[in-house]
Amino acid sequence: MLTFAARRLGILLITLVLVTVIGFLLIHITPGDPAVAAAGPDADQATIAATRTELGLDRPLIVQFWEYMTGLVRLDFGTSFDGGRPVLDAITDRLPATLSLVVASLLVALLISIPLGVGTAVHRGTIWDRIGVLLASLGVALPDFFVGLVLVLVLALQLGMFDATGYVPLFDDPIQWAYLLVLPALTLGTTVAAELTRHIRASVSDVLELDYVRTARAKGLGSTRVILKHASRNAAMPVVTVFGNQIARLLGGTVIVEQIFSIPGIGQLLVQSVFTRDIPMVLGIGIFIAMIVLLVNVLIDLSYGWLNPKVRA
Amino acid sequence: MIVTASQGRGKGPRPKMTRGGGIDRFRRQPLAVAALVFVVVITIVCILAPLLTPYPFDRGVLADTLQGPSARHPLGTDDVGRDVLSRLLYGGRTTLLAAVQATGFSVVLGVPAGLVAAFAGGWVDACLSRVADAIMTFPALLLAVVIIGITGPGLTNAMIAIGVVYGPRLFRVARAAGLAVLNETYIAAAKTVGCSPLRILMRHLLPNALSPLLVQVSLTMATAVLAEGSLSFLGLGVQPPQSSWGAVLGRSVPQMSQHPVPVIAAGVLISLLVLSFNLLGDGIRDSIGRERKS
Repeated sequence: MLTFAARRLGILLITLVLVTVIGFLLIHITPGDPAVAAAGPDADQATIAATRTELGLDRPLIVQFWEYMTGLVRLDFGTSFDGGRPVLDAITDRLPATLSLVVASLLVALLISIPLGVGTAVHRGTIWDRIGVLLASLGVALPDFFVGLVLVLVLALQLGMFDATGYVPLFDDPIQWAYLLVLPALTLGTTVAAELTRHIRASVSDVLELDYVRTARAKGLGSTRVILKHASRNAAMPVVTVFGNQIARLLGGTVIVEQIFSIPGIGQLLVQSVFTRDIPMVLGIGIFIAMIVLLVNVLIDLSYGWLNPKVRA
Repeated sequence: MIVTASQGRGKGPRPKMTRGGGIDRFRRQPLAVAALVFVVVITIVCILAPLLTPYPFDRGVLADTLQGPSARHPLGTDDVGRDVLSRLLYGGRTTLLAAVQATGFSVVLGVPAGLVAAFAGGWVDACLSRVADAIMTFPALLLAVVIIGITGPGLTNAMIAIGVVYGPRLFRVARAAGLAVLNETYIAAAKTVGCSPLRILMRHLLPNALSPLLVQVSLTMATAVLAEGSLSFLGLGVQPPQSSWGAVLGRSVPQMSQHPVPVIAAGVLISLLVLSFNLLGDGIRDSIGRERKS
């Protein structure tokens, strides 16, 4: 188990370095001079040159890269072009809002997809199965922003059940926090739920056809017990795999959803930084998210070992 | 299906299973056919946009801002008095073209690399696969936004970003398809008679990898339409006065409570196009018959 975990961590590090290299190279290969962006829109040549020296952008690329990488090891993501604030500070300020949104959406996604996925798998071929599959296909095709806007339009503006936008920190007012998160979480959760439902349905119906499930049924176990005790653990394996992708998708979706509902999270910060051409902030957020996604993937890999002892070898 | 003269006379060899077999199977799937029809119709309508609408997409009449649907403007007008239907017709061109660009870019990026990885194996394969994995772990939309943040807003940048993000998917499909046929006898035969690696790649590997690639291309078109919508909605894709479905939608959001029609129209169009490309991809996969639908 220990070597398994160590190998996973090794792969994680390689991937992280690769992500950083790709991001770093993109800045310097693509047109658009970072120094011009840093100096601001009205800067003259002298200011740009001064900024270039000040930020160390005139040094060889490899030196800059080394500095950035050693900074990352010390969790130093550099400083923002906009006011010289440490990038990591800005990110951690925004983290609670994004985390709230992601956790709430995940909850919505699981609450929808598990009953729907297992239900359609158990009643495969019936009309309920067809309806479930159709709903899932529709859910996959619907863009996040459209779902969000329709929810706002119908539930907030027409029916007045919710406030259209806004966010309150959890510890300021937990009830208001939950209330304001309902619409954003529904928006982000339904699209992820659609994808998860398809995978859960496929996985559960595959496992239900296996011999050992038939044996369990033959010895007289009830349907619920067979599914919960025997089928669920094996059916979880492939689903857990796509779970990692879905977490990545959720994190990506926050960019859109935070914009629609004015949630002051990392996604909103990223979009703002793109408009102000704050390159260190953009790159920092990118690498930060990559770290989170990779960490989630390692946890998922480790959970394979728990779900299926064969993997540990 | 090729119908030869000998078949008509009832003699000669029985008709063999040709490519027509796949097309027949495709035709028996009503959803996939409907999706194909929708994609074709939308494409034709958008190409013919200048002939179909009397209004320009980029100039409005300031006296006519924010009108509701009427006989003159079936979907109303936007905040600077432009006809929304015309904006959608012209915008569809941008959306489709952008999706084709992004998908084309990821094909160019992913497919040769995938085939080379399958063919070369060893450390070449390991390196390319690692890079693909690294890109794949990243949330697609977020990576696109980061790339645009570095390169600056604009549709071409946006689509290159999307192309980079989806390249690994085509890489994986091409690599898997390449590996699947690599051990076939005809590859060994080609090697034995002295075909160059390039010739084997182009003449033997590529045609056999084509069907799964076609499925992936259709699915990538769907995600590219979605991505164009999202990026233009955020204001990072198409720049004004250019129109696209995402741009029309994003622009109409502030006036949504009084004028919901443009938002709904653009949203429905994007959703239907995405759904069509997804169904089309599923339909092609089912007609190839080699892979089971999951």
